Amino acid sequence: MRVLFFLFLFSSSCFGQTVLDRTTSIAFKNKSLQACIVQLGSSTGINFSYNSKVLHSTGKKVNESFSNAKVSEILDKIFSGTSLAYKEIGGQVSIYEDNSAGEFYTLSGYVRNKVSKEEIVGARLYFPSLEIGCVSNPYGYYAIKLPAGETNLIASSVGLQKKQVNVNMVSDLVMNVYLSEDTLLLNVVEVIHDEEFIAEIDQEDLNAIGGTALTKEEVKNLPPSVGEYDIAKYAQSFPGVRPAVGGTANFRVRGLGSGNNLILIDEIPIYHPTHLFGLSSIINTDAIKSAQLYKDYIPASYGLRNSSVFQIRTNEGNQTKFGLNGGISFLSARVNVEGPIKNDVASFYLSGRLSTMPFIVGNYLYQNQVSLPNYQDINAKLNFKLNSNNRIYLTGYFGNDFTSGTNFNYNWGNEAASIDWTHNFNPENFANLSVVVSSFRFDYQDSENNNNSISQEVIFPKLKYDITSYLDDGATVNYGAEVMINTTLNKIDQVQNNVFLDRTAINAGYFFTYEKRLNRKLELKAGLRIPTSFHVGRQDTTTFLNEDYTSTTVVYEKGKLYDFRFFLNPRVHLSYYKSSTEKFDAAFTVTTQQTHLVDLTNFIVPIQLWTNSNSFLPPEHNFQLSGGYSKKLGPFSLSSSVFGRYVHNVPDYASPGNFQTSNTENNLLPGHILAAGFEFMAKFKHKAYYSASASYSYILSLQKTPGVNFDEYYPTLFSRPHYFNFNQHLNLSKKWVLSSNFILHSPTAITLPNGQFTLNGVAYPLYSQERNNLRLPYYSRFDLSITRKLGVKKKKDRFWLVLSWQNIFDRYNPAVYFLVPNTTQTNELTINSSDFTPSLVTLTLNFKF
Amino acid sequence: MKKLAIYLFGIFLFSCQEEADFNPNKFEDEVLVINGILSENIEYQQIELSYATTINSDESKSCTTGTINLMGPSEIYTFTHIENGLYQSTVPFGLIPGDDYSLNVENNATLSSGNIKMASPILIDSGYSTGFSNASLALNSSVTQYLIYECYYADTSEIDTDTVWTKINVTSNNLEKTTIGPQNIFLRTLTDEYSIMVSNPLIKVITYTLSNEVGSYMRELEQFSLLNSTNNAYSNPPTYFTNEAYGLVYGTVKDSTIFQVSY
Repeated sequence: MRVLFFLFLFSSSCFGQTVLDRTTSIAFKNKSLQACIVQLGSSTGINFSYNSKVLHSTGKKVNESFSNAKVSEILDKIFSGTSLAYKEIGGQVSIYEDNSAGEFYTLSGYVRNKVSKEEIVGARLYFPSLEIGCVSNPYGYYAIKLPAGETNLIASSVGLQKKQVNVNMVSDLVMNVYLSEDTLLLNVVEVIHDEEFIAEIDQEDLNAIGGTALTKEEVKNLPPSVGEYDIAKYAQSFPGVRPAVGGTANFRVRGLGSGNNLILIDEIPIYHPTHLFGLSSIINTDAIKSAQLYKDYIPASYGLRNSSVFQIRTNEGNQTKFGLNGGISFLSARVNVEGPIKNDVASFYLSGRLSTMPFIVGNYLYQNQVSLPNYQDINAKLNFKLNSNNRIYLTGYFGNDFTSGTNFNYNWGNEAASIDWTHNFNPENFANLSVVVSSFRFDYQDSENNNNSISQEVIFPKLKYDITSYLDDGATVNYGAEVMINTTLNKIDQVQNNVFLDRTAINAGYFFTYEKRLNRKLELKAGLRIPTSFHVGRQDTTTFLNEDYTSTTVVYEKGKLYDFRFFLNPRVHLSYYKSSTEKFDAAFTVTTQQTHLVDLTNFIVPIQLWTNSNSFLPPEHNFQLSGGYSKKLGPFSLSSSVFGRYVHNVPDYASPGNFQTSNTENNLLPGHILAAGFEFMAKFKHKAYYSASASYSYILSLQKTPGVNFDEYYPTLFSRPHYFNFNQHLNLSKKWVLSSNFILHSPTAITLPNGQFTLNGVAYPLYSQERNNLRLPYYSRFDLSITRKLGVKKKKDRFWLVLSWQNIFDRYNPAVYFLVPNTTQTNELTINSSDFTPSLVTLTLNFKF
Repeated sequence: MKKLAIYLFGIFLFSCQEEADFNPNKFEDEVLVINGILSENIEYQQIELSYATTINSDESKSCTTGTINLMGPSEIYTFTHIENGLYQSTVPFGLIPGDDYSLNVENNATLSSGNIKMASPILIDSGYSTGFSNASLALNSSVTQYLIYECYYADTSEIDTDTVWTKINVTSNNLEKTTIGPQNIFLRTLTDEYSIMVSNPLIKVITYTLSNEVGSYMRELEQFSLLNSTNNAYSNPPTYFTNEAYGLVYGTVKDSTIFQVSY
């Protein structure tokens, strides 16, 4: 790399048609440098200015001959191995001693949107002449070491115009890069020349081993569901990501459960991501600034969950002017406000959503006897620039779902607030401290029979501190620590035993990552995370189930620390760029999850309990090996990957004969999951008029739990081997836009009771030893949406209408099943199923000011 | 939770609900279900044997090939099959409160057995109410044990031969634990959803005394229902008999009282 830098230095002034481009044929026979320059001057007619002493001091003798060579090439050659440099000034060439040769300086700053002054995450900065580059971090900050001298920089980001800037590195330099919005959306996307460091295949919205960037623009290319664009449903168009239950926003990644995804809104972990019994996610697409999904290589700064990381960064608000946008349908309404508090110093972003259905439909249909499910959520963000080196971000999230009937109340939601402080010690060292206070609760109260009431609250304050250092050799290192106190509070009224006992655990992680472009072809990302955990006794007694189905009773004394665990999570990702359009990837990832999510129901409503690990349900460890290949072929982008994983200590319910009082904790046993699969994704883009994306994946996911299913492997709950998704987006004209989405997946594996008996007029279910041996019918759905922009001709396109039709062919896709008493004979149980994506038409009016 | 399921999925605007259109595996195993209530009255006692049925099916399957013996402290009573899985004792007899019995049911060379401790009687001193939904019983018990009760009402102020008793739906559990001595229990199951014409209707309460073993087994079943109604624990209910036979046979002392609702 250094050689390249030197070569670059000696040719740095060769831009455009200058005297240096003049060609000549010349031969030097054992001549001093000064003699060479004199000879060159007379044969080309160029005036050279120089200090003789400097030329003599090199003591160099030249023995070269050139035929029809450029002056610059000749000078480069004869000066090689010296510290001499040259520069054209006013048709004359000045030769000087470049004392800065070999010096490196740091170029750093923020990449921002030129209009709104908001920082841009993941913007690419590339220095073509040096063949090096970097990407802006989640706070829009970048830093890179560059050799002294002049160079040029190309900055780019999706949806924004590319910008080229010349920089002269004579000292450390802070330069904020401003990118303008791309107003010519219908233009062909410009292909950046071949040698670009950021290869063409490293593009957004394509399944990638190193993490997939999901853009808001692409989310809005899918037909909206229940009146809203939903990034969690868009994520399901990527292979390996499947809905937790058919048609819902919660998802499962590569054979693991929905509780194995780390969903982060800024630094806030989300414990349950859905509204409306799963139909819509709590992530407000409007409030998203950037989103990244990691399911192969997960950077070591992320821990806590096993199968994937879904990192959402929220909008910070326009720094220069106020904005208002939103939309309303008969199901929901949303509004977003943003603007500066003080120009270029502080801004805010506030967005809120509300289900309108209860008001419009509920009161009329049900005469207020039952409140229809409804939800509200608020995303708020404030950011302050204290000075050029310190920034503070305040993020708040509040979400609530509520429904009630004559004798029950049910609500759930997340509440969280965080403070992020970013600090530059110097251009090369960027630090971030985040303090999060967050909680998740669900509460079902049955006023008629309190025995049916159930609730859980999880409170999880978190502290994270990390430093990113940009090293001299172009490598980036990130290191830090994260501590979370996870407290679960459970309640079942009037029943002696809790489903789970309350627990407080301290889960921590210490991490280090190293990222470096080794050469033009190879890129390495590696890291190590050390997760640790223990829990604090609360003076309780619990009976646990052993693997041989005997029981052990443990007394946890108040204030005493129990079950200290630590593990090593090495993570490596290697990319090989065969060319700028072809790339191979390999990754090995070990992750550890210290909290388990136990589904109490088959529903998608969050009746799920979180529990901290202990010696009987130890932390889950995931070992995953994956490989990928991606290629860009004209308008096509292709990506494929294979993976295999082994996950240790995954809890599942014990054998059906084992019922032990109402403690769920002692009906669980740790087992393991083996999963492997193949994923394929193809994207096609014809200018900006038409785009399509297809993905297919085959994932086999098997579980084994002592004593369950005759000690044989069985499919994991809700596993679906085949999954196919195809969506299209067509810009018919400036007014009309068409989108469609098709999903087809194989039947979902479930366990159902297959027998029943009656006692005192009450029917009880009976299960056989087999687990998840039944499959629901296959799932298929076709959605379509039509967008009509209003006022295009008058250039007042502030409003647009979206008509979406979900499940056009009205296929009945049973997504969940549940036992109900037979309507005619109450002492018999019947299995009913429910479809969450019936044929449904919604019309949304959107606006933007 | 069961109710939650019904409410949420019945009401929710977008969800279509249907009976699952796929057939679970047939329940091939012949799991025996033994049910019966034995009393202290000298009479022909009856026990019913059947097999667990396949879910989503209404066909019930009687077991006619079993042999039943009840061993008391001094005698063995044999039951013979009369019809549709109903077995009757060969001689009339009554169980003696406080005694221990052992029930053995043999079918297809598998023996299932359970202990039946005959409960001591819990007697009703009186019943009273202030309003239809506020009924209580005054009880007198010589031991700490469980009872279950049934409530009926008659839309009349006086009993005659034509009195029609209507069962009041038990909306909550009707299992109570009593302690030694006189005490009151509030009948939580009375609701005011019934249309009553007379101002002071009659209420009849029948109590069945249970042994502690049976009472706590029923409590366990209740807890099982609570967790399992949403059926993700995959657990089978707790069993009272050996060899995974389900059902329950218990000896009980019955008592009843009739009283008028006053305000």
